[in-house]
Amino acid sequence: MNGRRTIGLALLMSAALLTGACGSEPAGQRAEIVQDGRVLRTVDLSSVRSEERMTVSWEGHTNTILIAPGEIRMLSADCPDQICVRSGKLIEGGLPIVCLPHRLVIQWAD
Amino acid sequence: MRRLWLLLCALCFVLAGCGGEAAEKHSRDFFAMDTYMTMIAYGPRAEEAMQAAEARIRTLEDELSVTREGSDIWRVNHRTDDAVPLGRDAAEAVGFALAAAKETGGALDPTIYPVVEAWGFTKDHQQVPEETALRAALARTGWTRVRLDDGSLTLEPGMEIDLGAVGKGYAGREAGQVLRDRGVTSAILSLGGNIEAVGSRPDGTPWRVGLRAPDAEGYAGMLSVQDAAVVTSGSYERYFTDESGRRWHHIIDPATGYPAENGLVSVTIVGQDGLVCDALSTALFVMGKEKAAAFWRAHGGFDMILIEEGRHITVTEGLAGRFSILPDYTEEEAEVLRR
Repeated sequence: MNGRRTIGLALLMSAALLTGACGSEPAGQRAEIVQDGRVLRTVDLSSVRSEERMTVSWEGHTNTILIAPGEIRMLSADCPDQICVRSGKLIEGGLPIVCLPHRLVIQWAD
Repeated sequence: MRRLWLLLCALCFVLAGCGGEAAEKHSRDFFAMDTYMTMIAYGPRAEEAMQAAEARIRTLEDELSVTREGSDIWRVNHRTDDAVPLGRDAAEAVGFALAAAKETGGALDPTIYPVVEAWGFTKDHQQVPEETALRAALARTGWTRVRLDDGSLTLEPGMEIDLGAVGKGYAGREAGQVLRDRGVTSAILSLGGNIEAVGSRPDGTPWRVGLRAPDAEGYAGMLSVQDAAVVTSGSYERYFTDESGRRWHHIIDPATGYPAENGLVSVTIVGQDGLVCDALSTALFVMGKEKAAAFWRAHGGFDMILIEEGRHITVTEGLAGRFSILPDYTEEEAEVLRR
């Protein structure tokens, strides 16, 4: 067996190993803020260095989103049920944070 | 050296193929049935299948919504005759809800809508109803006073019906079936938190579903499932606080007209049929732990996770080994219910 063929085999074997591993989800840090189906913004939480408050309006109502290092959450909302605020921060692999009355969603980007 | 480049190129193709046909991930998100739905499906048929599943959900919303003008349920609640003919889906869903009402001794009651309206849970303004108003609303309920014959629904005057406790479950079951019929073997759907797992993950391992902590941020535990529905009813989902600071949640005990208060804060049902899981999560929440355990022993066919105030967690034996409590939530081990 010559050297090049050995390299080739090694490459193919590592490819097979990688293929086997690709069914699992990558640990994404990219969150997206979506309103009524439109992506307003995508944030890579791993590259956020300081806290930021983002305000989003919907038919005269307001949501405030906290974007912080490694973290995103609905900080406040003038919706009646407050379910989005109570959802806390977006959890890795977790369900989206949804403000139904304002059609606003914070979720992991694909 | 050229051969090495060729090999590298081949490797790139293999890696690209990794996200390719067999395991290509597709997703679809949309608002429907007064909630947010997300679908993730893998494989070459995923996109078309999810489109069909969404269409099925939207059809069901048109038929089963209590607020959508012209839906079967809306027509029942705005009837001019006592008997109203239902479409196939509405007849099946109502028939199931009535059977579930009987089976659960009325812990689930599809005629509870007047009481839910009295509490304001159907609109933005919630309040504790006056005792007389609540009694009047309760007098307009009672699943035993409803008849469903040959797809025709008969209600006494003043009574109303709604499928809030089973509609999303029915939609989850149907959407899962659409995906399976179209050859999808790996998908996970969330209908506002109602989970429908189709097959397993693309690598053959089970789907992992997080169970929301009822009284904190994050999760209480993780559950492994394949080809199953997971539906939770919790007092933390929708509630309001009155002037005196007392908290009232949205899961009404049909026997009293008041939110069920029995120490449970969430009930999760795991089973084959999303419709059954949806109905049982509400009914067993209303029953409380002891009656829920007795119901499970008598009927079987599903598993459940009960969380009580104080974070005590109980699971049925079928879930031991498939459910793990997150140590951040509680260090107490789960109590296991056995037959």
